[in-house]
Amino acid sequence: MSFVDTDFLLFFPVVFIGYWLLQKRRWQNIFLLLASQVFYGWFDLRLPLLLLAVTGMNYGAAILVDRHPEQKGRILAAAVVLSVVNLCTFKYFGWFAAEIIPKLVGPEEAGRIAALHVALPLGLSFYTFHNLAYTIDVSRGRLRVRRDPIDYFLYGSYFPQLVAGPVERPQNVLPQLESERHFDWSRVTSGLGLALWGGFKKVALADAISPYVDLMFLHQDPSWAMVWTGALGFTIQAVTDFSGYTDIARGTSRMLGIELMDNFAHPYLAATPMEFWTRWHISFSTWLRDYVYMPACFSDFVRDWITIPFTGEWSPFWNTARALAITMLVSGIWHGSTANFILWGAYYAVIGTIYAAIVARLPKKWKKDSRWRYLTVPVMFGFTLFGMHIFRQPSVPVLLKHLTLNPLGGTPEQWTVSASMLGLCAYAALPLGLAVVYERFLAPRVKDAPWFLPVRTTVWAVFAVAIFSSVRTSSGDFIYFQF
Amino acid sequence: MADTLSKLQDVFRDVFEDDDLVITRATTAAQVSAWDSVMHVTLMMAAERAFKLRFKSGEVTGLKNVGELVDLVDRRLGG
Repeated sequence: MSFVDTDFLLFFPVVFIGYWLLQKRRWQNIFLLLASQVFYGWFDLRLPLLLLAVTGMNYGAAILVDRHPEQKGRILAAAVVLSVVNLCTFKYFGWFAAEIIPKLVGPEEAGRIAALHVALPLGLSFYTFHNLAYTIDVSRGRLRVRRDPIDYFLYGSYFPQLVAGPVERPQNVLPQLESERHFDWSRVTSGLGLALWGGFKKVALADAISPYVDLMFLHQDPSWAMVWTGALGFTIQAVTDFSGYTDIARGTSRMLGIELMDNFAHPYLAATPMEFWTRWHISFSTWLRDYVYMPACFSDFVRDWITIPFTGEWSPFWNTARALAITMLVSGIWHGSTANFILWGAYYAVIGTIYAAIVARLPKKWKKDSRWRYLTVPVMFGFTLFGMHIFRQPSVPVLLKHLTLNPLGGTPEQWTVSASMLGLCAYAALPLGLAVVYERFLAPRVKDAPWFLPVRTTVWAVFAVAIFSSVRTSSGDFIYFQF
Repeated sequence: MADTLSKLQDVFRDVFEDDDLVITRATTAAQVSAWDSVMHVTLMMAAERAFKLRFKSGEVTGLKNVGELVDLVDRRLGG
Protein backbone atom coordinates (compact mmCIF):
# COMPACT_ATOMS: atom_id res chain seq x y z
CA MET A 1 0.00 0.00 0.00
CA SER A 2 1.09 3.54 -0.58
CA PHE A 3 1.61 6.04 2.25
CA VAL A 4 -1.18 8.21 0.83
CA ASP A 5 -3.74 5.40 0.47
CA THR A 6 -6.64 5.32 2.89
CA ASP A 7 -5.54 1.72 3.58
CA PHE A 8 -2.32 3.03 5.11
CA LEU A 9 -4.27 5.40 7.35
CA LEU A 10 -5.90 2.28 8.83
CA PHE A 11 -2.80 0.04 8.67
CA PHE A 12 -0.38 2.32 10.50
CA PRO A 13 -2.46 2.97 13.66
CA VAL A 14 -2.94 -0.81 14.05
CA VAL A 15 0.81 -1.39 13.67
CA PHE A 16 1.65 1.50 16.00
CA ILE A 17 -0.65 0.32 18.82
CA GLY A 18 0.23 -3.37 18.46
CA TYR A 19 3.96 -2.62 18.34
CA TRP A 20 4.06 -0.53 21.51
CA LEU A 21 1.77 -2.93 23.39
CA LEU A 22 4.31 -5.71 22.84
CA GLN A 23 7.09 -3.86 24.74
CA LYS A 24 9.76 -6.60 24.36
CA ARG A 25 12.23 -5.95 21.54
CA ARG A 26 12.13 -9.51 20.23
CA TRP A 27 8.33 -9.51 19.85
CA GLN A 28 8.35 -5.98 18.46
CA ASN A 29 10.80 -7.05 15.73
CA ILE A 30 8.77 -10.15 14.83
CA PHE A 31 5.63 -8.01 14.69
CA LEU A 32 7.33 -5.37 12.49
CA LEU A 33 8.70 -8.06 10.18
CA LEU A 34 5.21 -9.51 9.67
CA ALA A 35 3.72 -6.01 9.26
CA SER A 36 6.36 -5.24 6.61
CA GLN A 37 5.37 -8.35 4.63
CA VAL A 38 1.69 -7.34 4.85
CA PHE A 39 2.56 -3.79 3.72
CA TYR A 40 4.50 -5.08 0.72
CA GLY A 41 2.08 -7.89 -0.09
CA TRP A 42 -0.74 -5.34 -0.24
CA PHE A 43 0.62 -4.25 -3.66
CA ASP A 44 0.84 -7.84 -4.94
CA LEU A 45 0.81 -11.09 -2.97
CA ARG A 46 3.88 -12.42 -4.83
CA LEU A 47 6.10 -9.49 -3.89
CA PRO A 48 7.07 -10.64 -0.34
CA LEU A 49 8.57 -13.81 -1.87
CA LEU A 50 10.96 -11.72 -3.98
CA LEU A 51 11.76 -9.50 -0.99
CA LEU A 52 12.54 -12.53 1.18
CA ALA A 53 14.70 -14.01 -1.59
CA VAL A 54 16.80 -10.82 -1.96
CA THR A 55 17.12 -10.40 1.80
CA GLY A 56 17.87 -14.09 2.34
CA MET A 57 20.56 -14.10 -0.36
CA ASN A 58 22.41 -11.23 1.35
CA TYR A 59 21.93 -12.73 4.81
CA GLY A 60 23.46 -16.00 3.59
CA ALA A 61 26.24 -14.34 1.57
CA ALA A 62 27.46 -12.38 4.61
CA ILE A 63 27.54 -15.56 6.73
CA LEU A 64 29.54 -17.30 3.98
CA VAL A 65 31.99 -14.36 3.87
CA ASP A 66 32.43 -14.67 7.63
CA ARG A 67 32.99 -18.45 7.47
CA HIS A 68 35.27 -18.42 4.43
CA PRO A 69 37.18 -15.10 4.50
CA GLU A 70 39.68 -16.45 1.96
CA GLN A 71 36.79 -16.70 -0.54
CA LYS A 72 35.18 -13.36 0.28
CA GLY A 73 36.01 -11.79 -3.09
CA ARG A 74 34.24 -14.56 -4.99
CA ILE A 75 31.26 -14.64 -2.61
CA LEU A 76 30.84 -10.87 -2.85
CA ALA A 77 31.17 -10.96 -6.65
CA ALA A 78 28.48 -13.67 -6.81
CA ALA A 79 26.15 -11.64 -4.55
CA VAL A 80 26.66 -8.48 -6.62
CA VAL A 81 26.16 -10.30 -9.94
CA LEU A 82 23.00 -12.07 -8.68
CA SER A 83 21.60 -8.77 -7.40
CA VAL A 84 22.37 -6.87 -10.60
CA VAL A 85 21.03 -9.64 -12.87
CA ASN A 86 17.84 -9.91 -10.80
CA LEU A 87 17.35 -6.13 -10.83
CA CYS A 88 18.14 -5.71 -14.53
CA THR A 89 15.87 -8.60 -15.55
CA PHE A 90 12.87 -6.91 -14.00
CA LYS A 91 13.92 -3.33 -14.75
CA TYR A 92 14.85 -3.62 -18.40
CA PHE A 93 12.76 -6.55 -19.63
CA GLY A 94 10.15 -4.22 -21.16
CA TRP A 95 12.81 -2.23 -23.02
CA PHE A 96 14.60 -5.42 -24.11
CA ALA A 97 11.34 -6.99 -25.35
CA ALA A 98 10.38 -3.86 -27.28
CA GLU A 99 13.75 -2.78 -28.71
CA ILE A 100 16.14 -5.74 -28.92
CA ILE A 101 14.16 -8.99 -29.19
CA PRO A 102 12.26 -7.99 -32.39
CA LYS A 103 15.65 -7.51 -34.07
CA LEU A 104 16.81 -10.99 -33.01
CA VAL A 105 13.71 -13.15 -33.60
CA GLY A 106 10.59 -13.04 -35.74
CA PRO A 107 7.67 -10.73 -34.90
CA GLU A 108 5.50 -13.64 -33.72
CA GLU A 109 8.08 -14.91 -31.24
CA ALA A 110 8.88 -11.32 -30.12
CA GLY A 111 5.16 -10.75 -29.50
CA ARG A 112 4.97 -13.91 -27.36
CA ILE A 113 7.95 -12.73 -25.25
CA ALA A 114 6.58 -9.20 -24.88
CA ALA A 115 3.25 -10.68 -23.75
CA LEU A 116 4.95 -11.95 -20.58
CA HIS A 117 4.67 -8.35 -19.30
CA VAL A 118 7.45 -8.56 -16.74
CA ALA A 119 7.01 -5.39 -14.70
CA LEU A 120 9.45 -3.85 -12.21
CA PRO A 121 8.41 -4.90 -8.71
CA LEU A 122 7.89 -1.84 -6.55
CA GLY A 123 10.93 -0.90 -4.49
CA LEU A 124 13.14 -3.71 -5.85
CA SER A 125 16.09 -1.43 -6.57
CA PHE A 126 15.83 0.26 -3.17
CA TYR A 127 15.90 -2.92 -1.11
CA THR A 128 18.45 -4.51 -3.43
CA PHE A 129 20.80 -1.61 -2.68
CA HIS A 130 20.34 -1.46 1.05
CA ASN A 131 20.72 -5.22 1.40
CA LEU A 132 23.80 -5.17 -0.82
CA ALA A 133 25.35 -2.41 1.34
CA TYR A 134 25.33 -4.90 4.24
CA THR A 135 27.06 -7.68 2.28
CA ILE A 136 29.70 -5.31 0.87
CA ASP A 137 30.44 -3.77 4.28
CA VAL A 138 30.75 -7.20 5.92
CA SER A 139 33.16 -8.31 3.20
CA ARG A 140 35.15 -5.06 3.59
CA GLY A 141 35.47 -5.80 7.32
CA ARG A 142 33.54 -2.65 8.25
CA LEU A 143 30.62 -4.48 9.83
CA ARG A 144 30.24 -7.65 11.85
CA VAL A 145 28.07 -10.37 10.40
CA ARG A 146 24.54 -10.80 11.78
CA ARG A 147 23.25 -14.28 12.48
CA ASP A 148 19.87 -13.47 14.00
CA PRO A 149 17.47 -13.93 11.05
CA ILE A 150 14.66 -11.86 12.62
CA ASP A 151 16.82 -8.77 13.11
CA TYR A 152 18.44 -9.06 9.70
CA PHE A 153 15.26 -9.84 7.75
CA LEU A 154 13.61 -6.87 9.46
CA TYR A 155 16.54 -4.66 8.37
CA GLY A 156 16.10 -5.98 4.83
CA SER A 157 12.36 -5.43 4.64
CA TYR A 158 11.46 -2.70 7.18
CA PHE A 159 8.29 -1.19 5.66
CA PRO A 160 8.73 2.61 6.10
CA GLN A 161 11.86 2.62 3.88
CA LEU A 162 10.97 -0.35 1.71
CA VAL A 163 9.59 0.94 -1.59
CA ALA A 164 11.29 4.31 -2.15
CA GLY A 165 14.04 4.64 0.43
CA PRO A 166 15.89 6.18 2.12
CA VAL A 167 18.44 3.60 0.94
CA GLU A 168 19.50 2.84 4.49
CA ARG A 169 22.86 1.70 5.80
CA PRO A 170 23.23 -1.26 8.13
CA GLN A 171 25.45 0.80 10.48
CA ASN A 172 22.49 3.09 11.16
CA VAL A 173 19.53 0.71 11.31
CA LEU A 174 20.82 -2.64 12.59
CA PRO A 175 22.06 -1.33 15.98
CA GLN A 176 18.65 0.29 16.51
CA LEU A 177 16.83 -2.95 15.72
CA GLU A 178 19.14 -4.76 18.14
CA SER A 179 18.44 -2.35 21.03
CA GLU A 180 15.48 -2.08 23.38
CA ARG A 181 13.06 0.64 22.29
CA HIS A 182 10.83 2.41 24.77
CA PHE A 183 7.81 4.56 24.12
CA ASP A 184 8.84 8.22 24.03
CA TRP A 185 6.01 10.72 23.67
CA SER A 186 8.26 13.51 22.35
CA ARG A 187 9.60 11.27 19.54
CA VAL A 188 6.07 10.18 18.66
CA THR A 189 4.85 13.77 18.33
CA SER A 190 7.98 14.80 16.44
CA GLY A 191 7.53 11.84 14.06
CA LEU A 192 3.84 12.64 13.60
CA GLY A 193 4.69 16.26 12.69
CA LEU A 194 7.30 15.13 10.17
CA ALA A 195 4.92 12.61 8.59
CA LEU A 196 2.14 15.22 8.34
CA TRP A 197 4.53 17.69 6.71
CA GLY A 198 5.58 14.97 4.26
CA GLY A 199 1.96 14.08 3.50
CA PHE A 200 1.14 17.76 2.97
CA LYS A 201 4.04 18.17 0.53
CA LYS A 202 2.90 15.15 -1.45
CA VAL A 203 -0.86 15.61 -1.46
CA ALA A 204 -1.31 19.39 -1.32
CA LEU A 205 1.76 20.50 -3.30
CA ALA A 206 3.16 17.77 -5.59
CA ASP A 207 -0.22 16.34 -6.59
CA ALA A 208 -1.65 19.84 -7.10
CA ILE A 209 1.01 20.80 -9.62
CA SER A 210 1.52 17.38 -11.24
CA PRO A 211 -1.42 17.37 -13.76
CA TYR A 212 -0.37 20.79 -15.12
CA VAL A 213 3.25 19.70 -15.47
CA ASP A 214 2.00 16.66 -17.43
CA LEU A 215 -0.02 18.94 -19.71
CA MET A 216 3.02 21.11 -20.42
CA PHE A 217 5.24 18.15 -21.27
CA LEU A 218 2.62 16.25 -23.30
CA HIS A 219 1.57 19.27 -25.36
CA GLN A 220 2.18 18.62 -29.06
CA ASP A 221 3.21 22.17 -29.93
CA PRO A 222 4.21 24.09 -26.80
CA SER A 223 5.78 27.53 -26.67
CA TRP A 224 9.20 28.20 -25.14
CA ALA A 225 7.59 29.72 -22.03
CA MET A 226 5.32 26.67 -21.59
CA VAL A 227 8.29 24.32 -21.83
CA TRP A 228 10.36 26.15 -19.24
CA THR A 229 7.55 26.91 -16.78
CA GLY A 230 6.68 23.21 -17.11
CA ALA A 231 10.29 22.31 -16.29
CA LEU A 232 10.17 24.66 -13.30
CA GLY A 233 6.93 22.99 -12.20
CA PHE A 234 8.54 19.55 -12.47
CA THR A 235 11.57 20.78 -10.50
CA ILE A 236 9.24 21.71 -7.64
CA GLN A 237 7.04 18.64 -8.07
CA ALA A 238 10.07 16.33 -7.90
CA VAL A 239 11.33 17.71 -4.59
CA THR A 240 7.91 17.94 -2.93
CA ASP A 241 6.92 14.46 -4.07
CA PHE A 242 10.13 12.67 -3.19
CA SER A 243 11.02 14.56 -0.02
CA GLY A 244 7.35 14.22 0.99
CA TYR A 245 7.67 10.44 0.72
CA THR A 246 10.92 10.50 2.69
CA ASP A 247 9.41 12.61 5.46
CA ILE A 248 6.45 10.24 5.82
CA ALA A 249 8.90 7.31 5.95
CA ARG A 250 11.13 9.00 8.53
CA GLY A 251 8.21 10.31 10.54
CA THR A 252 6.35 6.99 10.82
CA SER A 253 9.62 5.22 11.61
CA ARG A 254 10.43 7.75 14.34
CA MET A 255 7.02 7.05 15.86
CA LEU A 256 8.16 3.42 16.11
CA GLY A 257 11.40 4.51 17.81
CA ILE A 258 13.66 3.90 14.79
CA GLU A 259 15.48 6.86 13.23
CA LEU A 260 16.06 6.76 9.47
CA MET A 261 18.65 8.91 7.70
CA ASP A 262 17.74 12.25 6.17
CA ASN A 263 17.39 12.20 2.41
CA PHE A 264 17.00 15.88 1.46
CA ALA A 265 18.61 19.05 2.78
CA HIS A 266 17.11 21.90 0.73
CA PRO A 267 18.79 20.71 -2.50
CA TYR A 268 17.95 23.84 -4.48
CA LEU A 269 20.17 25.88 -2.15
CA ALA A 270 23.24 24.00 -3.41
CA ALA A 271 26.02 26.19 -4.79
CA THR A 272 27.92 23.53 -6.77
CA PRO A 273 27.15 20.21 -8.52
CA MET A 274 29.00 18.33 -5.76
CA GLU A 275 27.04 20.11 -3.05
CA PHE A 276 23.81 19.29 -4.89
CA TRP A 277 24.49 15.57 -4.49
CA THR A 278 25.07 16.05 -0.76
CA ARG A 279 21.59 17.58 -0.51
CA TRP A 280 19.48 15.61 -3.03
CA HIS A 281 18.51 11.94 -2.47
CA ILE A 282 21.35 11.84 0.05
CA SER A 283 20.99 8.16 0.87
CA PHE A 284 21.35 7.10 -2.79
CA SER A 285 24.07 9.68 -3.53
CA THR A 286 26.17 8.48 -0.60
CA TRP A 287 25.47 4.86 -1.65
CA LEU A 288 26.81 5.66 -5.13
CA ARG A 289 29.75 7.51 -3.60
CA ASP A 290 30.79 4.58 -1.40
CA TYR A 291 30.01 1.63 -3.68
CA VAL A 292 30.48 3.05 -7.22
CA TYR A 293 32.43 6.35 -7.18
CA MET A 294 35.16 5.25 -4.76
CA PRO A 295 35.71 1.87 -6.46
CA ALA A 296 35.77 3.76 -9.78
CA CYS A 297 38.59 5.90 -8.35
CA PHE A 298 40.62 3.28 -6.52
CA SER A 299 39.92 -0.22 -7.83
CA ASP A 300 42.87 -1.82 -9.57
CA PHE A 301 40.71 -2.87 -12.51
CA VAL A 302 39.55 0.68 -13.30
CA ARG A 303 42.99 2.18 -12.67
CA ASP A 304 44.77 -0.29 -14.90
CA TRP A 305 42.25 -0.82 -17.67
CA ILE A 306 40.01 2.21 -18.11
CA THR A 307 42.34 4.98 -19.13
CA ILE A 308 41.82 8.14 -21.15
CA PRO A 309 44.30 8.43 -24.06
CA PHE A 310 46.51 11.52 -24.35
CA THR A 311 45.80 12.76 -20.81
CA GLY A 312 49.47 12.57 -19.85
CA GLU A 313 50.49 11.74 -16.30
CA TRP A 314 47.53 10.37 -14.40
CA SER A 315 46.23 13.05 -12.08
CA PRO A 316 43.53 13.39 -9.43
CA PHE A 317 41.56 15.51 -11.91
CA TRP A 318 41.37 12.81 -14.58
CA ASN A 319 40.73 10.22 -11.94
CA THR A 320 37.77 12.27 -10.70
CA ALA A 321 36.50 12.84 -14.25
CA ARG A 322 36.61 9.12 -15.02
CA ALA A 323 34.94 8.18 -11.73
CA LEU A 324 32.23 10.81 -12.20
CA ALA A 325 31.51 9.55 -15.72
CA ILE A 326 31.18 5.96 -14.48
CA THR A 327 29.06 6.93 -11.46
CA MET A 328 26.66 9.21 -13.30
CA LEU A 329 26.30 6.66 -16.09
CA VAL A 330 25.29 4.07 -13.47
CA SER A 331 22.89 6.59 -11.92
CA GLY A 332 21.38 7.41 -15.32
CA ILE A 333 20.93 3.73 -16.25
CA TRP A 334 19.42 3.04 -12.81
CA HIS A 335 16.79 5.71 -13.42
CA GLY A 336 15.72 4.17 -16.73
CA SER A 337 16.66 2.56 -20.01
CA THR A 338 15.66 5.49 -22.24
CA ALA A 339 18.18 7.87 -23.79
CA ASN A 340 17.04 10.90 -21.77
CA PHE A 341 18.16 9.25 -18.51
CA ILE A 342 21.58 8.37 -19.96
CA LEU A 343 21.85 11.95 -21.24
CA TRP A 344 20.84 13.24 -17.79
CA GLY A 345 23.61 11.17 -16.17
CA ALA A 346 26.14 12.37 -18.75
CA TYR A 347 25.03 15.96 -18.16
CA TYR A 348 25.81 15.74 -14.44
CA ALA A 349 29.15 14.04 -15.18
CA VAL A 350 30.09 16.90 -17.53
CA ILE A 351 29.08 19.76 -15.21
CA GLY A 352 30.75 17.97 -12.27
CA THR A 353 33.98 17.62 -14.25
CA ILE A 354 33.89 21.23 -15.42
CA TYR A 355 33.29 22.31 -11.82
CA ALA A 356 36.29 20.24 -10.64
CA ALA A 357 38.47 21.84 -13.35
CA ILE A 358 37.35 25.37 -12.46
CA VAL A 359 37.64 24.98 -8.70
CA ALA A 360 41.21 23.65 -9.05
CA ARG A 361 42.21 26.92 -10.74
CA LEU A 362 40.37 29.41 -8.54
CA PRO A 363 42.45 31.67 -6.29
CA LYS A 364 42.46 30.51 -2.66
CA LYS A 365 40.79 33.66 -1.29
CA TRP A 366 37.88 33.29 -3.73
CA LYS A 367 37.17 29.77 -2.49
CA LYS A 368 36.91 31.01 1.09
CA ASP A 369 34.61 33.93 0.33
CA SER A 370 31.08 32.79 1.17
CA ARG A 371 29.53 35.81 -0.59
CA TRP A 372 29.97 33.90 -3.86
CA ARG A 373 26.98 31.82 -2.82
CA TYR A 374 24.66 34.75 -3.73
CA LEU A 375 25.75 34.17 -7.32
CA THR A 376 26.51 30.45 -7.40
CA VAL A 377 23.25 29.24 -5.79
CA PRO A 378 21.00 30.80 -8.50
CA VAL A 379 23.43 29.62 -11.22
CA MET A 380 23.37 26.08 -9.82
CA PHE A 381 19.58 26.22 -9.65
CA GLY A 382 19.64 27.04 -13.37
CA PHE A 383 21.76 23.93 -14.01
CA THR A 384 19.38 21.86 -11.86
CA LEU A 385 16.38 23.18 -13.81
CA PHE A 386 18.05 22.20 -17.07
CA GLY A 387 18.82 18.74 -15.63
CA MET A 388 15.21 18.29 -14.55
CA HIS A 389 14.12 19.27 -18.05
CA ILE A 390 16.25 16.48 -19.54
CA PHE A 391 15.03 14.04 -16.87
CA ARG A 392 11.32 14.69 -17.49
CA GLN A 393 11.36 14.70 -21.29
CA PRO A 394 9.72 11.69 -22.96
CA SER A 395 12.44 11.46 -25.64
CA VAL A 396 15.63 13.09 -26.87
CA PRO A 397 14.13 14.35 -30.21
CA VAL A 398 11.38 16.13 -28.27
CA LEU A 399 14.01 17.58 -25.92
CA LEU A 400 16.02 18.92 -28.86
CA LYS A 401 12.86 20.38 -30.41
CA HIS A 402 12.04 22.14 -27.14
CA LEU A 403 15.56 23.49 -26.71
CA THR A 404 15.45 25.19 -30.11
CA LEU A 405 12.17 27.04 -29.56
CA ASN A 406 12.00 30.82 -29.97
CA PRO A 407 11.93 32.38 -26.46
CA LEU A 408 9.58 35.13 -27.67
CA GLY A 409 7.27 32.82 -29.59
CA GLY A 410 3.80 31.61 -28.60
CA THR A 411 0.18 32.68 -28.84
CA PRO A 412 -1.44 34.96 -26.22
CA GLU A 413 -3.22 31.87 -24.84
CA GLN A 414 0.13 30.06 -24.45
CA TRP A 415 1.59 33.05 -22.56
CA THR A 416 -1.49 33.02 -20.28
CA VAL A 417 -1.02 29.30 -19.62
CA SER A 418 2.68 29.87 -18.86
CA ALA A 419 1.87 32.71 -16.46
CA SER A 420 -0.68 30.50 -14.69
CA MET A 421 1.94 27.75 -14.41
CA LEU A 422 4.33 30.25 -12.88
CA GLY A 423 1.65 31.13 -10.33
CA LEU A 424 1.21 27.45 -9.48
CA CYS A 425 4.98 27.11 -9.07
CA ALA A 426 4.98 30.07 -6.66
CA TYR A 427 2.13 28.44 -4.68
CA ALA A 428 3.99 25.12 -4.40
CA ALA A 429 7.39 26.70 -3.68
CA LEU A 430 6.15 29.07 -0.97
CA PRO A 431 5.77 26.43 1.80
CA LEU A 432 9.24 25.10 0.94
CA GLY A 433 10.69 28.60 1.34
CA LEU A 434 8.83 29.09 4.61
CA ALA A 435 10.19 25.75 5.83
CA VAL A 436 13.77 26.95 5.22
CA VAL A 437 13.11 30.21 7.08
CA TYR A 438 11.45 28.33 9.97
CA GLU A 439 14.19 25.72 10.22
CA ARG A 440 17.14 28.13 10.02
CA PHE A 441 15.92 31.26 11.79
CA LEU A 442 12.66 30.77 13.68
CA ALA A 443 12.75 27.31 15.24
CA PRO A 444 15.73 27.90 17.56
CA ARG A 445 14.14 31.13 18.87
CA VAL A 446 10.49 30.20 19.29
CA LYS A 447 10.60 26.59 20.46
CA ASP A 448 10.34 27.58 24.13
CA ALA A 449 7.71 30.29 23.69
CA PRO A 450 4.38 29.61 25.48
CA TRP A 451 2.42 30.02 22.25
CA PHE A 452 4.62 27.61 20.26
CA LEU A 453 2.66 24.45 21.14
CA PRO A 454 -0.82 25.74 20.12
CA VAL A 455 0.57 27.30 16.92
CA ARG A 456 2.40 24.10 15.99
CA THR A 457 -0.70 22.01 16.70
CA THR A 458 -2.78 24.33 14.50
CA VAL A 459 -0.27 24.01 11.64
CA TRP A 460 -0.34 20.21 11.96
CA ALA A 461 -4.15 20.32 11.95
CA VAL A 462 -4.01 22.30 8.69
CA PHE A 463 -1.69 19.65 7.22
CA ALA A 464 -4.03 16.87 8.40
CA VAL A 465 -7.13 18.56 6.93
CA ALA A 466 -5.31 19.11 3.62
CA ILE A 467 -4.23 15.46 3.53
CA PHE A 468 -7.60 13.98 4.50
CA SER A 469 -9.53 16.22 2.13
CA SER A 470 -7.29 15.40 -0.83
CA VAL A 471 -6.18 11.84 -0.17
CA ARG A 472 -9.00 10.28 -2.20
CA THR A 473 -8.14 12.32 -5.29
CA SER A 474 -4.39 12.04 -4.73
CA SER A 475 -2.28 9.87 -6.97
CA GLY A 476 -1.11 7.00 -4.76
CA ASP A 477 2.04 6.80 -6.83
CA PHE A 478 5.19 8.67 -5.99
CA ILE A 479 7.60 9.65 -8.79
CA TYR A 480 10.32 7.41 -7.39
CA PHE A 481 8.09 4.31 -7.33
CA GLN A 482 9.05 3.81 -11.01
CA PHE A 483 12.75 3.45 -10.16
CA MET B 1 52.29 7.29 14.15
CA ALA B 2 53.32 10.88 14.98
CA ASP B 3 55.43 10.92 11.81
CA THR B 4 52.48 9.75 9.75
CA LEU B 5 50.21 12.44 11.20
CA SER B 6 52.84 15.11 10.59
CA LYS B 7 53.41 13.99 7.00
CA LEU B 8 49.64 13.85 6.45
CA GLN B 9 49.39 17.40 7.76
CA ASP B 10 51.66 18.53 4.92
CA VAL B 11 49.49 16.61 2.44
CA PHE B 12 46.33 18.27 3.82
CA ARG B 13 47.90 21.74 3.67
CA ASP B 14 48.99 21.14 0.09
CA VAL B 15 45.64 19.75 -1.09
CA PHE B 16 43.45 22.31 0.69
CA GLU B 17 45.91 25.15 -0.04
CA ASP B 18 45.86 26.25 3.59
CA ASP B 19 49.23 26.67 5.33
CA ASP B 20 47.53 27.23 8.69
CA LEU B 21 45.47 24.04 8.61
CA VAL B 22 46.09 21.89 11.70
CA ILE B 23 44.77 18.35 11.78
CA THR B 24 44.47 15.95 14.69
CA ARG B 25 43.38 12.33 14.88
CA ALA B 26 39.86 13.56 15.70
CA THR B 27 39.56 15.86 12.64
CA THR B 28 36.62 14.95 10.40
CA ALA B 29 35.58 15.98 6.88
CA ALA B 30 32.86 18.19 8.34
CA GLN B 31 35.50 20.30 10.11
CA VAL B 32 37.55 21.07 6.99
CA SER B 33 35.82 23.35 4.52
CA ALA B 34 35.85 22.09 0.90
CA TRP B 35 36.44 18.45 1.96
CA ASP B 36 33.85 16.95 -0.40
CA SER B 37 33.95 13.73 -2.41
CA VAL B 38 36.08 15.29 -5.18
CA MET B 39 38.60 16.64 -2.66
CA HIS B 40 38.56 13.32 -0.83
CA VAL B 41 39.80 11.56 -3.97
CA THR B 42 42.46 14.26 -4.50
CA LEU B 43 43.50 13.92 -0.86
CA MET B 44 43.74 10.12 -0.98
CA MET B 45 45.76 10.22 -4.21
CA ALA B 46 48.09 12.84 -2.70
CA ALA B 47 48.50 10.60 0.37
CA GLU B 48 49.27 7.66 -1.95
CA ARG B 49 52.03 9.70 -3.59
CA ALA B 50 53.42 10.94 -0.26
CA PHE B 51 53.60 7.47 1.30
CA LYS B 52 54.30 5.56 -1.95
CA LEU B 53 51.43 3.12 -1.59
CA ARG B 54 48.20 2.29 -3.36
CA PHE B 55 44.89 2.28 -1.47
CA LYS B 56 42.02 -0.07 -2.24
CA SER B 57 38.52 1.38 -2.65
CA GLY B 58 37.19 -0.41 0.45
CA GLU B 59 39.90 1.21 2.55
CA VAL B 60 39.26 4.83 1.68
CA THR B 61 35.48 4.61 1.97
CA GLY B 62 33.89 5.21 5.32
CA LEU B 63 36.97 6.60 7.08
CA LYS B 64 35.44 8.37 10.08
CA ASN B 65 38.30 10.76 10.86
CA VAL B 66 41.96 11.51 10.27
CA GLY B 67 42.89 8.99 12.99
CA GLU B 68 41.47 6.14 10.88
CA LEU B 69 43.48 7.39 7.89
CA VAL B 70 46.66 7.47 10.01
CA ASP B 71 45.95 3.90 11.19
CA LEU B 72 45.32 2.79 7.61
CA VAL B 73 48.60 4.27 6.37
CA ASP B 74 50.54 2.76 9.30
CA ARG B 75 48.93 -0.63 8.73
CA ARG B 76 49.77 -0.55 5.03
CA LEU B 77 53.34 0.60 5.61
CA GLY B 78 53.80 -1.94 8.38
CA GLY B 79 52.38 -4.73 6.21
